[in-house]
Amino acid sequence: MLSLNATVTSISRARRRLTTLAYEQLEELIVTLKLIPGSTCSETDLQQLIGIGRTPVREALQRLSREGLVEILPRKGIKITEVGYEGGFLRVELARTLLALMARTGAVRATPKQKHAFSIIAIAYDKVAQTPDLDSIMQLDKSMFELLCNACHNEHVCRAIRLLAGENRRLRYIHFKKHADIPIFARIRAELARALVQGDPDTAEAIVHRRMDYIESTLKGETQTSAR
Amino acid sequence: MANTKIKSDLSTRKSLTTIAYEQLEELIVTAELKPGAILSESTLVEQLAIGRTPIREALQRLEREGLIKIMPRKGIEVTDLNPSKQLLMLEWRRDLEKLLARSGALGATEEERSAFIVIADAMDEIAHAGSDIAFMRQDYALNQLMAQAAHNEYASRAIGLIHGLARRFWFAHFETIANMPLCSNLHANLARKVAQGDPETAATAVDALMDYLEEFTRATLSEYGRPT
Repeated sequence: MLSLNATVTSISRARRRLTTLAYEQLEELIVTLKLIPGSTCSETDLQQLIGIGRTPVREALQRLSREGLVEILPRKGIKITEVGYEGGFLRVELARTLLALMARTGAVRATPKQKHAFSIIAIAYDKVAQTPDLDSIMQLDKSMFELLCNACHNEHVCRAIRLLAGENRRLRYIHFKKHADIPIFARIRAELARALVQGDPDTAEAIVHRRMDYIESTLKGETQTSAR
Repeated sequence: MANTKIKSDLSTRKSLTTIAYEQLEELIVTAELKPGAILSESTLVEQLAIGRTPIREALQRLEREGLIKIMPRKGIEVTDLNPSKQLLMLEWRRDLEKLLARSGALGATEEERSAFIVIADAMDEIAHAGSDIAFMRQDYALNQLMAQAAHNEYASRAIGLIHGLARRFWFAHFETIANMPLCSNLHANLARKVAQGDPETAATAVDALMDYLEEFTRATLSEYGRPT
């Protein structure tokens, strides 16, 4: 009985790892537009595409559906959601509230180890600002996001912001493809990382607001373009 | 053939998951399933007479909301009531509720404004002579309405992540610590201010309520600090 239990739990742990793996692969495929917005596919297609089985893929899809990247259509399969330009302002509004709090509390609560990591990320952003590269900034943004989630030591706020993170990343990817402003984003991010290292909550929060103002202004451009 | 089966699974599972979720949430919030209790998936499947997959999905949602922890070797644990976690939650709940209140004040429909007034009147009545259950119901209704009237699906999903924990904490402590008339008045005031449409007074009403909830949560600390 005990050994059966142990087998069951080790299977469930392995499945959990597979779910995370499936999630990460699908998220990247969607964010980088390899799975085309508005297209529909079957669960089986996705299983074959990433070579992971039914249950982990299904669990990963549930998470992606909560994050607004896919829509699970009973009877029809899985739809990759259209890019949510219309929801953009609402998301920015929420992201601003949450990120401002994360920056403020992260500046106060980051451990020495986390501050060290922020200082390394700041240097990496400096490099991207000098030599813009799409993959690098997407990768750095992901590391910065995870680090900030840990540094603010508030799991609730992290869970909330994760609901937006995927769609925001997809929009940013599209944005970077069209505009040559990777250096602007990279510099703001480097500044934020440094404010967090210095433990300065007011500056960190002010930088978040500056970044959100910039995103809002570019978003206005996007909505006008897509309305035309 | 296999495909058809998967798809029909998907369509019927949705409602069963919600049923399982609502039943389990209530059992946990009202301490029928007590903090620290260890549950097994199979027992829940038997007790609720709902299949394994919907139960599993409901459990995943409850885990995201912080009410349970799924532990690979030990089963499913109902999380402990934790006042310092509650304080962390209030830290960002305040900002998020203000965002909802401001958006609601500006954008609520006429119908939603009338619904706010109905809740405000009910809360005032409860302040004079109300039952705890009546309060819990109006509180639930106000939560839902705030989330709806902001017309920001992202913000309402984010706040949805914490309602369970907040409700459970309140239910566990209100009898000994809460000032029910004051708390009902603060809720009534918030509902009325949102209905009236001025974003800044609505945000001030949120502050007043959150100040009270913070005080309430801090007051519970002495209960937890007591040596056993």
